[in-house]
Amino acid sequence: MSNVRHMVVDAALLFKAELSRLTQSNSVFFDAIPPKSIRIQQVLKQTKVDRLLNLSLSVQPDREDVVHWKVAEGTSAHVNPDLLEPIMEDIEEVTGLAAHPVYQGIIESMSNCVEHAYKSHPDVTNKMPTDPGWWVFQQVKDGTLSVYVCDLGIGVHRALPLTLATEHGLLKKLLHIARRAKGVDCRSLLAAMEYGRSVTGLQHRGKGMRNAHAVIDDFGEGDFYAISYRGCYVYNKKAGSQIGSSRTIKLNHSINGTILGWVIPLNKAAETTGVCHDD
Amino acid sequence: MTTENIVRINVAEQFTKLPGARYKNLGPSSGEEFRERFLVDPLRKGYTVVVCLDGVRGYGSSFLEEAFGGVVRELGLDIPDALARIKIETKMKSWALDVEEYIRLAKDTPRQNV
Repeated sequence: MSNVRHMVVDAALLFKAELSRLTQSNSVFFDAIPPKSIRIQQVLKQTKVDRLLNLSLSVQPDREDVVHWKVAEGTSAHVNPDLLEPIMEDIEEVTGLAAHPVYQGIIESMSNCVEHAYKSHPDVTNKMPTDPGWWVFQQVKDGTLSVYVCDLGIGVHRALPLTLATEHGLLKKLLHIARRAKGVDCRSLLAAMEYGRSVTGLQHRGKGMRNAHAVIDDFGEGDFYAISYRGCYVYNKKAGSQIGSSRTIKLNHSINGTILGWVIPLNKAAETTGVCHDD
Repeated sequence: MTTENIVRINVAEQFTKLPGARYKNLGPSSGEEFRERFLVDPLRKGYTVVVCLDGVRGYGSSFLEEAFGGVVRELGLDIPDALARIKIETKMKSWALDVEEYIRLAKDTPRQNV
């Protein structure tokens, strides 16, 4: 680690998840050289990656660009929302919002992980992590809030057919709609998004993957990323626009898991107008 | 409507500030648990429930659907009756709209998350 000078939040999250898997499943012991960069040392300490690398760092995180890295992780057997409180506390501190749209994205991603991500699949023979089985990183930097949720499960392209096992015709239709995307992972991500849209006909509103869009739509602007194995789906909505735009990217290498993430500007309150009362 | 027929529920104060997943078997503070503890009994007795959703960190749609759509399914409520007797208080317009949608669509079989 001695020459590491930058850590990107989603890559750091995947790094931590993979380290956890290796230490948990394969009993791998890491012996790392501490980074020269004090900032990186602070990041490793703040995200508790230092423990996985068996690094003994005396530094205490105090830099403004480090202390807002927040971490949560939990077992793939249960969704425990209490584990998210430190993250939500920090989000409240930096945004002033006690309730933030990103919460629904995180909680639904955790649910998705527990329900679908670690299903048995004949193509997947590597041992799946159980505790922890999901990881969340949050970072505040350059006026944006970034939140990413990661699992190391079977991926959307394997989970989707299992979820729609009794609706084979529907799965075929969804994949037909997504047929122009490059790669099976991109097509499966698009199919999952389309499945969500088809529930009520309201664009990007509702369950599962659609909640991920709702985070951005409720907030009014920002980016949503879904990365699964070699597929990447990006949804972007600009302030003032009625609808967002999306695209897929086929990655050169698989991440061997799934990451959902949101990047939201800090300098804007969520759309909370309209008070509803009983009669 | 008399006050005796109204049950007021504050999610943050009486249940949790961190609502969880859809089903109890997925973890604590689920929509199913909220429905069973707070909604089923008063609605079965013909009461009106006034639910204050504010004060929490947020809601997953699975939680709201299972709580409010779920109680319509469990009790077999007519949609107009359910809309009349389930009242939502919140500053978050989207939460109120979501609950209304889940009540209106409750009779459709809920789909799995993807």
